[in-house]
Amino acid sequence: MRKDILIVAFIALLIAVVISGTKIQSVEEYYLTHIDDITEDSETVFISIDARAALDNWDDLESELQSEKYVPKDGMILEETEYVLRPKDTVFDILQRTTRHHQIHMEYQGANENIYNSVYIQGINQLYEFSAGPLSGWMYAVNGEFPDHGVGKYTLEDGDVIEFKYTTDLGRDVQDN
Amino acid sequence: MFRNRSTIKTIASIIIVLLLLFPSFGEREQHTVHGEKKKSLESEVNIKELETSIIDIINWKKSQNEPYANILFTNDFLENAGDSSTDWYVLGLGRAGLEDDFASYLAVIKDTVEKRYQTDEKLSTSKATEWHRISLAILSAGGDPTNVGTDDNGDVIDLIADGTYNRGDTTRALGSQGINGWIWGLITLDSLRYNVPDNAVETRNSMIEEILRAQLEDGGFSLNTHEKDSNVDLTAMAIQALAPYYNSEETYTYEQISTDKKVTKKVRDVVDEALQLLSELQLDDGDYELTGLSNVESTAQVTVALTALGIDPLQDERFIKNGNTLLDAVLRYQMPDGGFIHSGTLDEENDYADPNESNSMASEQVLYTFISLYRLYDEKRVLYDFRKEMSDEVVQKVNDASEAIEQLPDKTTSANEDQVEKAFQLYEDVPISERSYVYNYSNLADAMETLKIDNSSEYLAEHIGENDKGNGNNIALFTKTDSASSDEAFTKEDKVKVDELLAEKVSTEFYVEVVTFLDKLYHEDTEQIYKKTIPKLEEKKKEIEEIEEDLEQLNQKILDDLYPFNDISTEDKEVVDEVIERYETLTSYDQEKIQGYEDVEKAAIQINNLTRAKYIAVSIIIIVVGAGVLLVIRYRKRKQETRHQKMLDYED
Repeated sequence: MRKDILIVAFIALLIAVVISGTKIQSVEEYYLTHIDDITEDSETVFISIDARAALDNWDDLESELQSEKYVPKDGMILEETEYVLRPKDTVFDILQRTTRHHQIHMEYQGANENIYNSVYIQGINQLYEFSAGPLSGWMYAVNGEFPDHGVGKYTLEDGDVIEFKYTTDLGRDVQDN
Repeated sequence: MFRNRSTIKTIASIIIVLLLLFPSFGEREQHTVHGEKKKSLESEVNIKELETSIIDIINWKKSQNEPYANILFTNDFLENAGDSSTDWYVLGLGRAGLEDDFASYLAVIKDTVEKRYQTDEKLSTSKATEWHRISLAILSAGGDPTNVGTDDNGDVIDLIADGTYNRGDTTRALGSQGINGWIWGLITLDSLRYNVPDNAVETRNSMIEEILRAQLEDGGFSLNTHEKDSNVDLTAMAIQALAPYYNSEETYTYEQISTDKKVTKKVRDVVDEALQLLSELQLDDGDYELTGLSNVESTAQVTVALTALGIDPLQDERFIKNGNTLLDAVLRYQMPDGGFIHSGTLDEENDYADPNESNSMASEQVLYTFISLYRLYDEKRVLYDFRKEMSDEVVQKVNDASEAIEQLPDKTTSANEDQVEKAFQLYEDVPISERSYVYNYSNLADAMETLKIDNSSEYLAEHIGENDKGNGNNIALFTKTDSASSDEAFTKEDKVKVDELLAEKVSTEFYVEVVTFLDKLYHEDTEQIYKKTIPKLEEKKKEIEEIEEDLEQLNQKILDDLYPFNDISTEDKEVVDEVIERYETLTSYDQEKIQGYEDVEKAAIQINNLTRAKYIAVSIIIIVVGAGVLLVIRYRKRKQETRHQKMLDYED
């Protein structure tokens, strides 16, 4: 009788294990596969990719790009999204992770390929510099400020809000000042 | 490094004294090209110091190569051939006529251009300046930009046609990136005074007019034609592009974009207005600023603009402030290591430029600025004119015209009519395509206007075309040997290196080397015994190209199949395993070119864990089922036993 009770308890335990998941990981494995999970303790940043200015200047846009595929109806290629901030992450690191994870096209020029000695963002979602006139291209702001530092050199802090904005007027259409 | 203004004045007065004492002393200086009368001992000295500074910049740049090499164009450096970080140094070394591995640059850029031409956007969808920079670099390396390999259809790639007069044909117009496209398009078109075919999309005049139209109200230029204030750098570059037409009497009637007003002007009027603005914008210390920050590049571009017009920046009072010249200003940015900094204070706008560290862009611009100045003093063609230097006969004609104009009194009266007409005759004797080198022509034009003498000089834009093709000409400024033609034959040492190369594992690391060796082997002078190496190297090149394609595919595969990470399941195992397998076969050099490989590893672990979890779940279920069965059996057994017992009890 006692044995039966033990067996029943054992079965109940095993069923409980199966229901709660059988993924058993080492600490390193857990760390690696959960590095981008947002928990209460994680430091995070927010990123959005905004091409609304291209909507306002639709006629200046290269005709091949005049499509919802490249400029969504509301102009937002990526709504504000929260990402885990890893130590020493730059704006470029976050942008690269974001675009990869969301499978958004992004092309950049490596720091050794240009005179600025810093990574340079050439195009996002097929929108490139000069795609909508001579003054168009990508800019970015952190917490509403446009730093103009190379994206690869701007190290982020917890809670920073990054906005990538497509400008058609050297920044005047997306900047307040 | 350079003497300050007061010493220049002292020496100038000494020279005047010498001239008074010994009239023959200045004779050498009398026979100067371009009417540069004040050619004096000062520039003789300056020229030496310019040479030192030029060599110092190149040595600094060489020191950035790792490991250090005697040449600048190492394989690592050439890997970025066709990028702005490389091409402007090729221009600098080429225009100074210094020795370096120009043959390798030409081999690599040809390969790069051919590859980039296989894509839809060719060199770039909207940036015509890609064509311009690469064309100028090819000319600087002694090559021919109208003949850069072949495209997929087997047609010869002509960067001049595609990048200038036919730019709007298959690709977007020159101006799609703004005034930059027109300015550099015109500079490139005039680099060898290329002819424009009749059926071309653009003409010289249409390009000139686009630049003129973009002039702002203050006389200068800016990226944005609706801006109020001009940008020093762009104003200087516009002058550089318009300089060959400064002596043209052609008038242009056009609508100025910034004012919407119709105006009629000569190129000379517009350039003079721009010069006037630049003179006003110069700071008290001789420097210039861009968006409020003094920086070396703006000052460098103004200097190049003046040399394009034959103006000596050390003599022209419009560009000397409190005794400070443009050169004084530029030299303030020089570092002890020979390089130049971008700005003395940390530029908030461009924090890539450390105020304490020599900067590549600043140094390259100063490099070609000093070369443009050197060429002015050394009586060579201007920086962006890659034609052969003038023959002695033409030099004589330019000198005669310049001197005759120099002799004209400041205020001409009808008494000078003969003299003016004689000067005009001499000017007309100068071949049309060389008239821009009569730097003081505008004095003659003014005198003729005052005296109401008919100025029938030919319009320049339609007459200065000279060449359909040809190589850039770069004479050695500092030594007697021409250097840009440094194609060497394939040597024994090369053979040893090639054998080592062939033994190496296939890797994109060796691509530049393979391409340059192949180019040498194709060279006619190469000995026959070495020619056997060609097929082996070609095979190697093909293999590397396959690796390159593989890398691209692999990167794309990772991007397409492994995101978003949360959707990774055991079904992706095959893909992940394949990616890892392919990755493992790459050399470490190529492995670095795989993007997001950490995510692949992460996915592999995830898949492993998921598989393990599956196994665990399955085993648990088996155990549970087993235990359940056991339980049932035991239960039945007990029940049976109880029944048995009951029956026994009953029988009892």
